[in-house]
This record gives sequence, structure tokens and C-alpha cells, in this order.
Amino acid sequence: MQMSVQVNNLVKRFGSFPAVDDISFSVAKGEIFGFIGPNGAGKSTTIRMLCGILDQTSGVGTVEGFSIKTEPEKIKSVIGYMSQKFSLYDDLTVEENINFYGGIHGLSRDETKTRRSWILEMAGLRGKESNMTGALSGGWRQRLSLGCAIIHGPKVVFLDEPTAGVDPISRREFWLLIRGLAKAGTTIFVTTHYMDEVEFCDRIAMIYRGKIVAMGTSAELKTANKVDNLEMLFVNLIRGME
Amino acid sequence: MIINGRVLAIARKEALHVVRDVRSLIIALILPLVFLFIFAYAITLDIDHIRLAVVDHDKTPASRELIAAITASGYFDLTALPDNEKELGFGMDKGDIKTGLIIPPGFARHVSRGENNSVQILVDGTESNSANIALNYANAAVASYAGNIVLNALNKNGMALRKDTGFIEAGQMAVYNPSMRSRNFIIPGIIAVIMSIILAILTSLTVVKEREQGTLEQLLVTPATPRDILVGKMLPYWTIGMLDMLMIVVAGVFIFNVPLKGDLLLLFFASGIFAFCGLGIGLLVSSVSDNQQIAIQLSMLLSVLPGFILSGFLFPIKSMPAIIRAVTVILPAKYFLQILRGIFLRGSGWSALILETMVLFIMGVLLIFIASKRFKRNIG
Amino acid sequence: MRRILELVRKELIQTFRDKRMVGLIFVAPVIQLIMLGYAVTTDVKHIALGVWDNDRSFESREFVRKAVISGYFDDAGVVVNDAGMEHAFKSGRCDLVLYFPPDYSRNIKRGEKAKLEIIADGSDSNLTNIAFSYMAQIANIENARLMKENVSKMKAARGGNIMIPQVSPEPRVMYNPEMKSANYMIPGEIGLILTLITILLTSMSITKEKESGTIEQIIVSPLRSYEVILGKTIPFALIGMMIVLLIITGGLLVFNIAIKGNIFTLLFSSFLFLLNTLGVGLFISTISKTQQQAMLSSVIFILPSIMISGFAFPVSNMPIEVQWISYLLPLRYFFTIIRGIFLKGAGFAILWPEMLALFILGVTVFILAALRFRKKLS
Repeated sequence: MQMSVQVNNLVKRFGSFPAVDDISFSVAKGEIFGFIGPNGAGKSTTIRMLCGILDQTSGVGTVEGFSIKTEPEKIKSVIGYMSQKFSLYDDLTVEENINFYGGIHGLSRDETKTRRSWILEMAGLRGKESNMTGALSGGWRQRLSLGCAIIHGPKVVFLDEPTAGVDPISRREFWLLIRGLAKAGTTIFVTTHYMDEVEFCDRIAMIYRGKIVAMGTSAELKTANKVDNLEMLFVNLIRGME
Repeated sequence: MIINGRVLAIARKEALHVVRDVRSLIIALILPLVFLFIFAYAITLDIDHIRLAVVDHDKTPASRELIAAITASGYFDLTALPDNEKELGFGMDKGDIKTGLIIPPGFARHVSRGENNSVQILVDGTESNSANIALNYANAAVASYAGNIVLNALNKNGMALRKDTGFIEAGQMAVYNPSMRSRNFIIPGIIAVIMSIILAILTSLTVVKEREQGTLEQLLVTPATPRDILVGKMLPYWTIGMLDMLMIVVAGVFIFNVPLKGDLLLLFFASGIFAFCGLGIGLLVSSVSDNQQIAIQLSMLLSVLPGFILSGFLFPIKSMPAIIRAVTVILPAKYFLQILRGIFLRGSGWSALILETMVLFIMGVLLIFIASKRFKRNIG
Repeated sequence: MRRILELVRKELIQTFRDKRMVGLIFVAPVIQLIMLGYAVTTDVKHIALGVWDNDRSFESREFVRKAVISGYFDDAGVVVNDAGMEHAFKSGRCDLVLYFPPDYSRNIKRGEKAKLEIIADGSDSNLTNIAFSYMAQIANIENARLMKENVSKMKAARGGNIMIPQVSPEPRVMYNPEMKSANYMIPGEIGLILTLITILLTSMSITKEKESGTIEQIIVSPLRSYEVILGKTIPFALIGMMIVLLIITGGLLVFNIAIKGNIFTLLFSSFLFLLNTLGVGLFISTISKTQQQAMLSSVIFILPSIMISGFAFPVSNMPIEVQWISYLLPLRYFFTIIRGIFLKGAGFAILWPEMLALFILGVTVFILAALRFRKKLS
């Protein structure tokens, strides 16, 4: 199977504090890979290293075959990234935000136009093109943010807690969008701390204090550890570490 | 290629921010006019109407003649005739009186007897420039009065060699600003001060703000390089800086009749380069600041103070101590001021100002280079 | 009361946690102190003097020598003629050229009027004015000397006792005898920095809470609006007072400028002044949505008011309409007060009208701003 993301012995230390402590994993093309863990476990740090905006302390990693150490610029053209802050410009309209992200990804006018109408459709924002982004509610902001992150049709999408602070219905709709993307061949790397979202992932890794404490499909983890609830498994694993 | 599609996308987005925030835009465009009016109307380095009070203990025709000689110089307004020194001192303490003249009792008698006679001139020294000028005017007025009475005495004795005072007459002529209006000197300088301040404070917020909002991180995972981001951010503010410059030039020339003798093309060219220096300082501040409050304090410190005080805008650099003069060497505003005054007042062209223009250019390139280096480092 | 203290403490912790902010708040005044003390000098010295001498006589060289020993002029070593003068000015090698016509010394010897010409670059009108007046003084002194020579020659020729009256000016500079610009600028810096720091800090700290949404937390808390206002202003008043003390100490240590008047009168007046700036800062925060708006609104208030309140140039030299406007600006009164206390040793007896004006303006501005702030909160 072709690997989209591959990480071996990745370490990131801030001073002497190991934020990411020797982790290894790989994500296949078109797979939804969930990164589960409490706040401060090292999820965002891992994503930022994979996106090429944070240098690793040691270890190797590749995204779509490009090294995160030596080819971060090449990585940037094949990935999409959406942060938990839904980074949009509040004083720009919906349409202006989309145009902007199309522009910085180097899309032509026509390409932007096609993608724009796709995003508006996908996010359910038709008719709201000229609304100020700052006035949108959480679910819309989230879907617009996703749309802007994948405007250039990236091969891998990194989602950093994409459902934080969004209502349950919007969360569900969002996950359906994600599954659609994966089906079309996009690799999804997603972090979350909602255990119920694990069911949407093909495979998950549980991370705690910078280390991966369990990895596999939801069913594999349940049978291997003889639990019927992943939340229980996670709590037990953490207790074991204390 | 410095300008590519990504740069344009960022510039367009930045321009939208600027246009959306109507109040900030209006302030950025009104500030130059406010400055222009303040410096053209309110602040004048030409000093006249100095408020004078005279304590005349003599009250004779001779003492009145001395008072008349001083007021006739045209620099003093006789505002009070206090009875005694104490009253005069109170007026000066309050700041109502800037110059005092004390004529001693028996002044006329001493004059007629040919005895040595001195009159006291008191000057409020708090503000040394005005004090200095007032002192010079008063001294000159008394000296010319003294010369006249000597001459009169000599004439009475039929001894004068000459009919009027003074052997040496010093004619005065100013070559480039014959009317000697301080406006002509100050208004071109406002361009440099305003551009420094506006560009530095506007751009100092742009990067910090995106960092606070989290959109900076979003930009950095796109193929846009730090250089694209910085250049894209600069373009709209560069335009504002040039608009500010243009408004001051137009208002200065057409409303305040400031002569513009030199090459317009050179003026625009040099302003364009200077604008990049101002932007470079603002972006550097923005890249090193953690939040908007720090960015503002830092950019005010780096733009207002050097703009007003160290650039030579109001205070001559040559009178500063050597160490401060050494500091001014690294200030772009200093060179831009020399260019502006050269173009406006002396009609200097490319050949005379090429050195200053080159210095500005190098500083601009250097500042932007450092800003983008710092910007990159601060992300990691 | 407890709650206000809690807010004040939170604000001070936030401000002081940020090491760079602390550095800026307290280092900036020191840098400005040094700049203002050393760099702001309206005394004009080292005026570069060129000579265009068509007379080439003892008398003409003597005049140049007198100009140079006066200390105001530097002999630029440039000898020019009609053609070279323009280049000497444009290249900046000369500020002033003395022109002696061919008959200069002959006329002096004959007792006729000898004309010399002072030609200035002129682009810097202030420098030119002062240079002209220095030169005129040198000519005056020369004239007095020649007159004296003339009279004594006459006396020798005529003999006898002739009465020649003399009047000499006896100048005395009060309050600032050495006429140091620093004595004017450094007390003024207290007003400048207090205005800059307190207005900016107050208006930006409130709008920052608006931007980050924490203001809503404060609104839903049991805090009364006056408590919020005091909690948001007292910290900056404290920081302001610290800066005042810092500048007073710096002025004394670095520039040897001691306060002639009473330091408590000064601190009391600073407090009255702070009512004004905090009120303005509060007001700006009520009309601004973002920190950028708050900052720009502050700047457009601060910079012009510094200019026309007499920071660098006395209000009395300004046109009357501008002087009227300046009556509305607290900074005008504060500049008069601090300079009065610092340089003239003035106290309540003399400065009470200014203090009253500060008090009335301050209370009005603060209350209006507070009312508006309260309306915005609820």
C-alpha cells in the first residue's frame, strides 16, 4: 500500500521538555487517521512539524514522499491545513476569504471560480457570499475554513481539532464531508479529543505526554484490550502510565 | 520575480482590511493634513510679538525715547508698565511677560552728563531659542539707541565724522528662501515625518494581528513564502504613504505657496524608496513583537522620536553632540529630509542628491531583508 | 473595594508579566530623556562660514576672525566667487557666505559706510535668522569699537573734556541662565510621556479585552461599572506616577536639573493631569472596536495636542486662534505647571489657575467617558 505520511522516531523538545517523544506511524493514501489525546499531549506539535512550520528536534518524516526536514516548501503545495481557530479573516466576506486562499495557492481565476462554487455548495453558504465572515456562526465558519484549506485540492489534509466548539449537528455534517473527501482519495490526518469521533476514523493513534500509547483500528483496539469502550481503554492506559 | 500571484492575493486581502476599517483609513489620510495645518499655522520659528514689560524709574523724555527705540524694532509688544521690579518678577513668574526692561532712576541725568549708564534687560530663559532671539533683538535695539545718542552728542560738538551710525553696514540676503519663511523649510520636512510615523505604526500591527488571530499559521502552511507575505503586506501601505506624500505636496504648493523648484520625478522616486524604509521598520517591529501593545509602543518609539527630533526636521543636526550625530547617520528620515529640502528649496536634481538617494535605497533593502529574516526566525 | 484591588492586581500582573512591555514602558522614557536632553538644541552653533573676499585686506580678514572667535561660526575654509557659491551651498559645505566688496577697507579708513553682504543658504530659516542676528551683533561690536576709536581720535585732536554719553545693555537671563534647551525639554518630557503611555495603554488594554472577548466575562461578573472603570485606570495611573519619578530622577542624575519648587506640588499636578489622560483613554476605548482603531484615534489626538500645547515651541508664539484651541487641551496647563515648578520654583500661589483648569477639565472628561463606558457595558 502506498503511504501518504510516514514518521519514524520523531522528537520535538522545547528546552528540555519533550512535547513529542519518539513517535513512529504511517498513514495510507485515502485513509482517515485519527490522533486522539488530551490537550497538551503533543497533537498540534506533531501536525505543525508535518506541515513544515515547526522544525523537529530529531527523527524523520515524509509527507507525500517529501521530507519534512529538507523539503517543507514542496510539502506546502500538496497539503491543506485547518487549525482549531478556523483561521479566517473576520473583516472579509465569505467570497473574499475564498478568493484570497485561492490566490495564495496560485490558482488561476477560472480555477478559483470553479472551486469557489464547489466550496459554497459544500459548506452550504450559497447566498451568503457577501456576508462578513465575522458574523457567521460556528458551523458555517468551520465548513468555510475547511473549504479554504482544501481549495487547491491537496493530497493530504491536516485537521487540528476541527470540531472544537461546534454543535453536534454541525459536527456530524462535518464528518460526512470528511468521509466524502477520503473516499475521493484524499488522506485525512485529524486530531480530536472527542472519543465519539473515533468511529469516523479508519485508524487511530492514542497519544499521551508525547508518546503513542495505542494504535490500530477501533475494532482492533477493542478486541486486543478486551474493552467495548475506547474511552475506558484510554483512561486505563493513562492510569497505567501514572 | 518579486511580484507574483501570491503576493497580489495577499496585497488584495490587505487592501480589503484597510478599506474595511474606514476610520483607520480616514485617520491615516487626515493626519498629514492636520500636521500640515499645525506646522503651517501654529508653529512658527519666526519670533516676533515678544511680550515686553518696562519698569521706568526715570519717566523722562530720554527714557521714553529708549522705550520707543525698542518697540520700534518691531519684535516687541509693550504689554505692561509695572511700577516696580517685584511686579515685573510676578508677571515673569506667571509667564505673561517674556522680556523685561528696567530703566534706572536718573537715567536722563546720567545720559546728559555723559556718565556710564546701564539698563537692565531681563529675559525669560525657559525656552532657550526664543530667549536667545529676544536677547539678540533687545541688545541690538539698545546698541542702536546708544549709537544714536553718541552720534547726536558728537554732532552737537561738530565732531562727527559721519552723519549716521555705524561704519560697517551688513546687508542680508537668503539665496534659496529669500522670504525667510519657516513654512518653506518645515512643510517639505512634514512629508518625511508623516511618512515615517504612518507607515511604521500601520504596518507594525499587521503581522502581530495575524499572529494573535491565528491566520498567520494558516498562511504559513500555504506555498506563500515569508517574502511573499511581507511584500504583499507592504503594497497597500506603500500606496497610503505615497497618497500622504502627494497630499502634502499638493496642499503645500497650492495652499501654502511653498516653492517646489526641483524635479518632481526625483521627488516621487525618492519618496517611493523612503516608503519602503518606513515599511521595513514597521514590519521589523511587527515581526519581533508578541502583541499589538508592544508593537505600538515600539513603533512609536522608533518613528515619532527619530522623525521629529533626530532627523533634523526642527532641530539642526550640526548642533547636536557628536554621539547623537553618530546615531542620526543610521536614520533614513535624515537622508530623506535632505533630499526633500534639496528638491523643494534649492531645486537640486539627480546629480546633487544621488548619494542620499542611494543611501536610502540601500537602507530600504537592508531593512526589508532583516525584517523577513526575523519574521522567519520568529515563526519557528 | 476588594474587587477593585483584584482588578488592579490582575492588570498590573498582565502588564508586568510581559518583560518586553516593562522594558518599553520604563526604558522608552529614559531613551527619550537622553535624546531630548542632548539632541534637542535650538542653540545654533558651528555655522559653516565661507568667504568671498574681493577686498583681501586686513580689515576683511579681521572681520572673519572676529566671527570665528565668537564661537558660533566655523571657518569652512571655503573661498568662493560668484560662480562657486551655488555649489558651496548645494553641496552643504557652507551655510553662510560673507561677501566683502573691493572698497570695503578703503571706506572704513575714510570713515565712510563700508558695506558687506551676508549671504545665507536660507533653506533653514531658523538657522539663517539666528546666523544673521549673530553676524549683526558682530558688526555692532565692530561699529562700537570703530566709534570709540573715532571719538578718542577726536578727543586727542580737540583736547579738553567732551561729554560722550554711553548706554550699555546689561542683559540677565532668568530661570535658565545658561539657556540650556534641556531645561525646557526635560520637564516637558513628563507631560509628553504621561500622555503617550497612559492614553495608549488605557485605550488599547480595554479594546484588547473586546477583541479577545474577555470583556464579556467582566460584564457578566458582579462587578459594578465604576469598579471596572477604576480597575482599568488605577493601574495605569500608578505606572504613570512611576514614570514621573523616573524622569525626575533621570533629569537630576543625567542633566543635573533639580526641581526648584515643591515635588509634592508636582506629583499632585501630575495626578490632576492623569485624570485627563485616563479619561481620554477611556473615551477612546468606547469608540474603538479594535486595537488598531484605538491606537490611531489616540495618535490623532496625542500628536497634535503635544504640538500646540507648547512642548517644543511656546504657545505664546502661536496665532491667537490656535491659542484659543490650546485652552481646551490639558497638556497646555500641565506644561505651564511643570515648567513653573521645575524652573521657576512656582507654587500654588502662582499656578492655581492652571491647576483648577486641569481639575475641571479632568473631572469633566473622566465623568463623560465613564458614563459612556457604562452605557457601552450594559
